[in-house]
Amino acid sequence: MNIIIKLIIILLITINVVSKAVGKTEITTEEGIEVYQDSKYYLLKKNVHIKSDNFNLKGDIVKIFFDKSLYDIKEIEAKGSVTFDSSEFKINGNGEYLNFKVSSEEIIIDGLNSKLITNNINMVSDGIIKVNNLNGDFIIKGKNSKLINENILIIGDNIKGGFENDFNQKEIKYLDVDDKEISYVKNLNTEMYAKKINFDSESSLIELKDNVTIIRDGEKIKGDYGTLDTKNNSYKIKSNNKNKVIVIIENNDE
Amino acid sequence: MALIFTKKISINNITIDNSDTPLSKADISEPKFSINNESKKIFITANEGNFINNDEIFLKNNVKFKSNDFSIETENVIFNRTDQTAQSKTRSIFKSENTSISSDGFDIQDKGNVIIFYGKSYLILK
Repeated sequence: MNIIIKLIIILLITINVVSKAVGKTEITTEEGIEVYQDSKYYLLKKNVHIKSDNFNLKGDIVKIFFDKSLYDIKEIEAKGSVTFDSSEFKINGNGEYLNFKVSSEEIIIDGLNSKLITNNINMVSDGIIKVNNLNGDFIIKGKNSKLINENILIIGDNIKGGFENDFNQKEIKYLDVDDKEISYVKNLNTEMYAKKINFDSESSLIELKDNVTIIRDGEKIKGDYGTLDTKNNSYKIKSNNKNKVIVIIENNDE
Repeated sequence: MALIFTKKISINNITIDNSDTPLSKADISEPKFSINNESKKIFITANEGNFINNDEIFLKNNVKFKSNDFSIETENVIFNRTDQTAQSKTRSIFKSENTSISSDGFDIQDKGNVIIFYGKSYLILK
């Protein structure tokens, strides 16, 4: 959740700077500004640099939708080598495309080598990174998609999840990972492979489906279906072949 | 999403040079015009004006555009009475609520609904 908080804090501060006369936002462009008053947007062209007290954004083209006046920003779209950062809040990101909607508090970063990085969580993808602050949901979709923090590493072509709706926690509420080839989750001392990996914080179970492999303490167990209970750190693996032994290992060193 | 960025008006084909128009005697002293659209009226004033043709007037010295929403100040402008357009290639300052834009000129189109600021531009939002 920390990533959501920090992201929104910095983005809202930026919007505050823009829309509520806190400080000043300077925008420079090399090839002018096109203002469409009926359509209520303006287009900033070539080597756009947005600078405010706490936030920097660069892009080749930036489109800003406004409500009543130019400073009353509703949505920002940046395209082409987009980078943004905040030294104060230690957040940065980049991608080929960025979209931020103020009212829905949703940010989308798209394109090769997309990144959203904070102190605690890194989201990277060659596709889309989408984060919604209002409900804590996030999607990381595309090749080389990863979510990384100090306790967990998640790799898969489609990572969908949500953070607990508690600003003081960093816990993941739910997680659905799938990959046509194989998804990967590393949690503490356990590595898990499967085509589909799901987690639900209410049941505290990580569920693994298809091509399941669990590696822990040098042991590698394979099967077709597995569960790992994060409460007691125990796991089970089943196989569709009834002749195979179901392996259950319990670890009481919690 | 790419469609959004394709809906733009290219300014590359617009070539105007009214910064050194060799007119020395004003046809109109302190000319006043306006651009009207459905939602607003933009008043135009200048110190001097010269007729270029039946449609176009070269406005010079202290040219101001003012509406309820914004103002633009610059030195030289070509105003087209028929098309209700205006073009400037002199340094221009746009001011609106908590907003200012400085640019190397501008082009007012679509009866004032579209304003294109040329060249290296500097936008300040307060």
